Amino acid sequence: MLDRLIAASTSRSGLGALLLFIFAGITFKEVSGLRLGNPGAMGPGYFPAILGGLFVLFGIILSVEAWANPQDRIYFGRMRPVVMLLAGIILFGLLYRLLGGAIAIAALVVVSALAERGRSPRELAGLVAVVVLLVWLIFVVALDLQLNMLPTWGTS
Amino acid sequence: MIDNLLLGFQVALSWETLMFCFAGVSIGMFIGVLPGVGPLAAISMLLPLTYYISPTDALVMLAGIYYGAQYGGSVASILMRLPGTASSAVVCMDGYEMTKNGRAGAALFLSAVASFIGGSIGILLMAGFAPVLAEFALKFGSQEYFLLMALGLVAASTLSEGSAVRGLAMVVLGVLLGIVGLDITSGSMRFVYGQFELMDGVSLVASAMGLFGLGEIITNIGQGNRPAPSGKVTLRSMVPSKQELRDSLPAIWRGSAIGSFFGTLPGTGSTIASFFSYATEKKVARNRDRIGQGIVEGIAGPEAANNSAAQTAFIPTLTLGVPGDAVMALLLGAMIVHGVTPGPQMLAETPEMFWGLVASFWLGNLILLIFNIPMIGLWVSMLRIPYRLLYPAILVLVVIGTYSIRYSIFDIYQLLGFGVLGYVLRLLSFPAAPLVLGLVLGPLMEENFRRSLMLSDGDFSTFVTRPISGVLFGCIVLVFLVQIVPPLLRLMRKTPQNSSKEA
Repeated sequence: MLDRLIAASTSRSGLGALLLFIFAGITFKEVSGLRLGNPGAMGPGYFPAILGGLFVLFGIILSVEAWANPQDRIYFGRMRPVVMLLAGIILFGLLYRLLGGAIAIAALVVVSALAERGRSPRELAGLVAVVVLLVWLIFVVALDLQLNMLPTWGTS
Repeated sequence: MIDNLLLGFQVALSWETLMFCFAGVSIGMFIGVLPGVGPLAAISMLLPLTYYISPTDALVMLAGIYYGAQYGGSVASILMRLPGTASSAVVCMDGYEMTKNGRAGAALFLSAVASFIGGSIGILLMAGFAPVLAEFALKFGSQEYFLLMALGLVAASTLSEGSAVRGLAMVVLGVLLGIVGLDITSGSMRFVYGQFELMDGVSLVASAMGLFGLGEIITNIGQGNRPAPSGKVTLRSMVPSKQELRDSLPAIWRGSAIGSFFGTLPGTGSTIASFFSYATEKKVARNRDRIGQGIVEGIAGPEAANNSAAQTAFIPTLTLGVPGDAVMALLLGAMIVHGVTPGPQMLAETPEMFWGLVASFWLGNLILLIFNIPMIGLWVSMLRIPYRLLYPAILVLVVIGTYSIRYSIFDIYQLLGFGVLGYVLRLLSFPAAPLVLGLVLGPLMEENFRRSLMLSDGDFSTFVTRPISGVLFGCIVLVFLVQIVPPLLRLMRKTPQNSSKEA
């Protein structure tokens, strides 16, 4: 019984249910600070409260599913692409203001390209050059967006 | 209707609009050809760029990407047995067999012709039915709108793939994310957590790009190099034989009918239409005993079906403001961003936009037919670009595109957040498409829900006592019964008895 409970709660549906209960918790936490009102004159909290209730309902159904299918495990697959892509985006966000678009894009390209193994430095350099040029042509020259390719702290 | 169509062509034939139409269908064709880049990701990537052009041109271009991708999807299916889009997966079977038999050219040509006929029929139906539907919809009150959106969401999330409960849970999450920000009625902030950037709500572009754009890249990285297509497709080899032409025509009519029907339903769309058409050809085609061995009906039917569905899918989106799938939800979001309220009033208030769109659809289909057949060689050579060189560039476009909407680094972190959410959801087998539907419809749903109950003084029976809303409510209950109850019963039967044996 306990084995099954542990298996069920870490199964695909079990973790899915957990996620929905977390969403429900976040929703009710927020709703608690809002006026509910009544059906004829709804406050800002009324509709979200219904959504929170639906999360609970679907979470319960998934829990039942988990109990019936405890052996359905989640499959993580390769973590490298996920980590590198997300790291690249964080790096872009951090570098853009500091060092300008060109360097931020170069960092994003290099980090995300390394999600795939076995790239030569030459390939990376070529890729960076092409993408930076492409962005400059499309977004700065053609579309005239305010994209600072170079650091701004030197100019102002 | 003739007057309206003339007005439409006047709009669509202006140089600028024609150019955006051409750009849209060409991009659509391109991403359709490339496996691993779908219309959803492409439209969300180009959404920010359209903020700088007129709403009509923006829609013409974004819609062009969508139906252009339906054309392009079959190219990789036929030549390499790799579906460029989900809706052309079924074309792999007979299409690739025809390539092996040395009939690749004819297969490509027939798929383009079938797509054109299917698309044209879909457009005609749209021009005929949309005004009727819109007129009918003018009678709708907020109760009907609320139920219509609920029906659209329930149907879209349960009729597609996977578990109905998971789809519905994602709709709820989408609706919840949709109402983040300032509540206009009461003036209170909801789910903002002190981030003033969230006051206007969650960014549609960041969410779509995070969920679909990043998701596609993560799935496709490291899948190894695709096999490059071999051989050349010459214009001469494209001419189909008389017999092939004769066999494919009835399949095209059947496919168009099937596609036009499924396109209008929420949640079904072009993929189901093409599969259904293939199943039909299996039963009724003249060469049905040889299906799967490279017969033209197996290409012509599904191709006509997915293209007519791609066109009729616009009917509920434009006339009722209720999108049937995530692509339509994005287009609806684009309209709202441009200050256009989709719905029955749109036909009356901005007829030039609606009819301009209709006319541009047909011109777009024509462009796809005429220009892209000679250009198939070019598209094929595009298939030789390895994905490992392509995806860093796509990722940069995603990030810059998100940033450029309002020059906000915060939006890049929203993109990141949705990328993480999308990854977690995929791990747990939650579908992401219903989330975007909910996100777009969330604020509208709450508004109509509130108004309905305000008008009825808080009486919930207002959702069933009005005739149209009663029917809509019945439909929702029906979808629930069909989708939720059988799996639930199966579960309940399974749980008590088998528990000891399985553990």
